[in-house]
Amino acid sequence: MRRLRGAPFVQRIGFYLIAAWSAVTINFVLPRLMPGDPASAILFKMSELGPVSEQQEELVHRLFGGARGQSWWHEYVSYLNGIIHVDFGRSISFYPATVSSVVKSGFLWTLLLVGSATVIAFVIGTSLGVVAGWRPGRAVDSVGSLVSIFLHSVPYFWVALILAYVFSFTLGWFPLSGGADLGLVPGFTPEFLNSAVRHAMLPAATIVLTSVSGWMIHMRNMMASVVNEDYVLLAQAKGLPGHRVVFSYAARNAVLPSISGFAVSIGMVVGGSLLTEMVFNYPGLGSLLNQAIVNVDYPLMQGLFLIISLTVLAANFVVDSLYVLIDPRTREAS
Amino acid sequence: MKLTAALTGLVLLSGLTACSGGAGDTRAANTQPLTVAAYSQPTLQPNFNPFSVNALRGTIGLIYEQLFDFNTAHTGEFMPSLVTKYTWGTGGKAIDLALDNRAKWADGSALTADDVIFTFGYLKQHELLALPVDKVTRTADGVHVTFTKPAYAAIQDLGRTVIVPKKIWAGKDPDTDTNVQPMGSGPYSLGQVTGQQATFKARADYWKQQVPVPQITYVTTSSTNLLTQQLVRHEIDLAYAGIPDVKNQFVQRSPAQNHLWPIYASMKPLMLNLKRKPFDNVHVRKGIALAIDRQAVTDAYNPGVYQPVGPTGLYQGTWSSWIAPADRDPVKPDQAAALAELAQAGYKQQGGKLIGADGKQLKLRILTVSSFADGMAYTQELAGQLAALGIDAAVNGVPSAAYTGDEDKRDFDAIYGDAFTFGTNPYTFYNKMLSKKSKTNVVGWDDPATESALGALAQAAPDAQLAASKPLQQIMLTQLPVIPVAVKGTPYMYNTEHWTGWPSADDPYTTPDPGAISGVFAAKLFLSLKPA
Repeated sequence: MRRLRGAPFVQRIGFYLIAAWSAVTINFVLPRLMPGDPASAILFKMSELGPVSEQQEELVHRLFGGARGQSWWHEYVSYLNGIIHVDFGRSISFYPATVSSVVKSGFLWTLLLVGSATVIAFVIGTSLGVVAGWRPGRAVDSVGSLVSIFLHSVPYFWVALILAYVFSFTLGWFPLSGGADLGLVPGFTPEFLNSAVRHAMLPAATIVLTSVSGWMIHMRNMMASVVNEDYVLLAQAKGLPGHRVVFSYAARNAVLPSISGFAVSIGMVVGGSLLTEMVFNYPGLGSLLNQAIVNVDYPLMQGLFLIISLTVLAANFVVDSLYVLIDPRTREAS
Repeated sequence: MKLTAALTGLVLLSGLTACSGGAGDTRAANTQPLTVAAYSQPTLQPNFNPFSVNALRGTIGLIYEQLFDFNTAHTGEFMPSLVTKYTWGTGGKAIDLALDNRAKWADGSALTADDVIFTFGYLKQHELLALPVDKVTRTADGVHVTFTKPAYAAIQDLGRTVIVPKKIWAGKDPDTDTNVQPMGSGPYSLGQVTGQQATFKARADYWKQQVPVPQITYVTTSSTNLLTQQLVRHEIDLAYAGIPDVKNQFVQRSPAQNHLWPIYASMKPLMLNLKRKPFDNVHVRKGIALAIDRQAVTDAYNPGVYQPVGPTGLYQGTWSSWIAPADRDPVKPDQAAALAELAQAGYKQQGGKLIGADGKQLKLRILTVSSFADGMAYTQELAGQLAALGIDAAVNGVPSAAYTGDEDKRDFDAIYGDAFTFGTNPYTFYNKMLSKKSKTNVVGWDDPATESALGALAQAAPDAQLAASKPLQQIMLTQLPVIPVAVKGTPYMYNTEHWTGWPSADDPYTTPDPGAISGVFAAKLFLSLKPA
């Protein structure tokens, strides 16, 4: 019986390995399907800012013109080899900086900003969903659902722009842009942390405002269907206190699909919220991804996509495994 | 309405522009640095290698110095930097450069001819030198440079050579070194770099003069919307970017302090694909050139930032002495003459459409970058005018990567997006545009007469350059390899709240550039400012 219990686990690991390989390969192919080449992209960017001398032009062509020189197969092999050795090469848009150092520079910003915003949105949204779904049709439900559907349909960057205009530009309560005040050296100093938190408020509010409604609607609908289940009726008939029926009986079951969804969105955190980061000029992975795409920076795109896909896989794996603890039925099935 | 106005920039989210500027405050109580919007990208990576294409701005001009430059914002007068004087010799195959003997590195040691000789050798060794330099030798007051062929036309590129200290650079690889602790001879030393800014601190012991601005901060601004707000609040002192409705959004917010100065340093032509029919026919090109109302094109977005240009492609405002009086003014739109030219190519108007001998309407798709709102507006106006003539003309707006991709594959009818920079003489300008060897000659102009005229201009002594440029001007006038439309203005925006003494149309002593174009321009700017 023990061996049988282990089998799904091994299967799952095999599945994740294959998924990882596919992700790695797609990451390699996708950037190369983009039109243009790095040398032209860099020269174009330079010429937008000012005249490009022949000297600079020759340098760019010498350094980056060869990006298409080798065969794809050759590049693929050296790419895989690089991944095994955790070496992603040098970024093109930030040449000669290495991809790892560039990714590292944005990772923590995004993880803290989008990560905390996602957790906050999940907790608030799910809690509201429990309240709204417990008594569908009541005032809380009608108003809450309406507002959240409205918020859900407003584009992300639009909320970001409005918040930036009202709270930064007009009222001046929050800084306009950036990750922290200029002149502060990143580190665990009170000044820096204070400044970083202030700078993160509006971007985080944008993410929370626009994603909280998704969690809420989802939870409300699950809750509304669960409250009519026999076991909830039974719990009520037994005369259990209301909060216990709501949380231990109804919500505990209703929240399961949300948790799977949460795993995916935690993984997506690393991808950053591209538009939010752009509106607030936030130095995270979303901004880096934008720069990589604009500059046709294959190595940086590969590095970023890899981080994103591996995080999604890792988060899924963790939740998949935890699910077994949360939901007893999955244990029985095996 | 304010909201609407402030949000106009949102469509430009990806159409970023960069800027530069800075404002510092010397008064002891106020330590606010001079802030320049120097980057349109959201994040930076430290890189102060002056030979790297991704060197952060300020590396050249603030930290390292170039030899000399010419003031292209005015009449191209000599601007000394490390070199105080140059003298041509042996028919342009040699030049004597007199070094400023006061020049010192930041560590106090003298910057000597040895460093200059080393730098040229180093550039050559690493294939970074695009000049026909043969030998560099020491002279009594500087260096003597010999060339493998007359180098008159390369004088500006020569002047923009960045000199680095021999003792430090001898062991460095210019391709991969990020040089995070730069030591140069310029007026500033590196303060700190974070992911979104680089700070430069004035050197107390700068060899040339007292440095008026104690601190300069170059920051990143990734959207024009954000940049507009920062400019209005004077959080940014200097910027250059295509802001929508810049006069109302910026200048009018505080007309006494907020200033806009467009500098016309390049020409943006309508480029027809000469390898594609019927644009290989000169009559078609002439017809199209005659149909364009250039004033209306330049007025399509931020009037005044672009200017109509005459048919030689040289800007009549700064190059008038080079152009024959009859050819200075921009071509006036003349529909009748345009139709007459097109008729010679077999195109006749039928029911408002220009139909060719093959029975098909003349079709023209103009390629441009969709994320630049200004470029799109100009191109749309152009296409509209040509459509009014009966051409099936429309804009093909694509992302920048696709733009360069299509351009490389020569897959376009026409392009309106590339610009060609005027140098100290018209050689670079015409060479990049028309030489068959030029990578930017994407229209496919291949003409022996042009090649020989370019060769002659490249080797012409300064007093013979005007005459040598005439054949090229004639080719532009009669053959229209590209159709000059407008000079592209770089809209420099600055405010005088913290600092005064900015260059302007009345006093164009330099281009207010943070080092994207020339370090000499940047140093001249920051050394000329005064506290308000």
